[in-house]
Amino acid sequence: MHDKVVRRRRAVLALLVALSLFLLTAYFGESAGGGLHATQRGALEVLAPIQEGANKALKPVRDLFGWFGDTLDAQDERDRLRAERDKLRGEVAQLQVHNQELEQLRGLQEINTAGGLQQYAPVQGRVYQRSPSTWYQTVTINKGSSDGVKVDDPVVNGQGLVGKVKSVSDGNAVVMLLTDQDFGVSALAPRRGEPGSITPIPGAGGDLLFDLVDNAEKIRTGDLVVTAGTTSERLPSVYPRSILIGTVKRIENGDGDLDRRIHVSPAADLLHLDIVQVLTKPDATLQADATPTAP
Amino acid sequence: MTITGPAIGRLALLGVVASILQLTAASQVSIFGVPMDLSPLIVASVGFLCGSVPGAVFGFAFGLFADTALMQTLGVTSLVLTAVGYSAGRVRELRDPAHGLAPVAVGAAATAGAALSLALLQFLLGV
Repeated sequence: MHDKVVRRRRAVLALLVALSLFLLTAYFGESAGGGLHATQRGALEVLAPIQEGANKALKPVRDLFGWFGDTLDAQDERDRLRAERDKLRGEVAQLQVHNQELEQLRGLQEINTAGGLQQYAPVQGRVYQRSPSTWYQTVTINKGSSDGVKVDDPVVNGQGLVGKVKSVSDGNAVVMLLTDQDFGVSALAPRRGEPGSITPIPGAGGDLLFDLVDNAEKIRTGDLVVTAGTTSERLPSVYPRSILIGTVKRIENGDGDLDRRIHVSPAADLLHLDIVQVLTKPDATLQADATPTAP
Repeated sequence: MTITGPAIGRLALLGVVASILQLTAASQVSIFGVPMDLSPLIVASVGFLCGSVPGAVFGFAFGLFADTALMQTLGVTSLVLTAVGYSAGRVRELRDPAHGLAPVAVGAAATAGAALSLALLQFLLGV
């Protein structure tokens, strides 16, 4: 009895396997218009409407499963995108810093070549400390006497005059800004040919006074003011000629010409100094280009 | 195990409904990027509950139906699911089908075996 069951079982299995292989072989052997293909197409014609109806009816079920899958995928994607965002944010910050440095270096390059400052042996330095006082306006740079920096050397950036070296040590130097109360430089409005001097206005941060101008009435708002490159008893200039100091911002008319006050806005952004250069040979016999060195 | 006429009808109905469910719903749901395939589980469950011969016959018919409906090469799925149904039935005949983990083990083995066999056949036949 048992043998009969086993034989029957094996026979059924062998039959089904043989049938499958026959179908496989026959299907491969015949052309697309053969009997098996035709039967398959006929069955598909019958099944298609059923499948279509079931497809519509089961859409909510698919959507439900899809929602779970999409939620899991979305969480993974969110985590991946967050990590990517953080990475990109860091890269953007780094690029912005590089871009800013590049802009400053480009300005310095321009002022050195077009403005003729190369002959004054410029030494590049980076500002790493600022004076918190509004009265004594100084910054400290990372270049000092070992780099050839000396007291009273002029300091510029790509925008124009920044100040002069106030004190120096081996590896760093303190720079007095244009707006420091002790600062002063002989200046010139090249468009009108009027000499004078630039001094800060105490208490008015970022405002300079173009003073001691003989023909003050000739000066107009928007005129450029540059270093005169001349010396006098009061202001023994250590600045090469034609370095841009700033622009005439406002003119206050007093009772007479002597009361006229010419306000100048510095060309260099003194609140955001980063890369500057010290002109270590300001008394070089060669003269800088006579044109203003606005970037 | 003897399969009666009503049981054959129920199995046929199960086969048709399960095939349509598989083709219209389950196959369009992805889990970890892989489409769901209930065919091996259904065939293995029939084999496990009814025996090797009913399992093999059900697997053959189910596979034939799937190949026909999907316009695939006839005989490929039939051959694989025949083996799955027969093997699941033999487990029932040789081992203790009442063990709690037996259906889980049979389902896992059936799914893995069917996937590997189909991949092997597709590779060999180039279909």
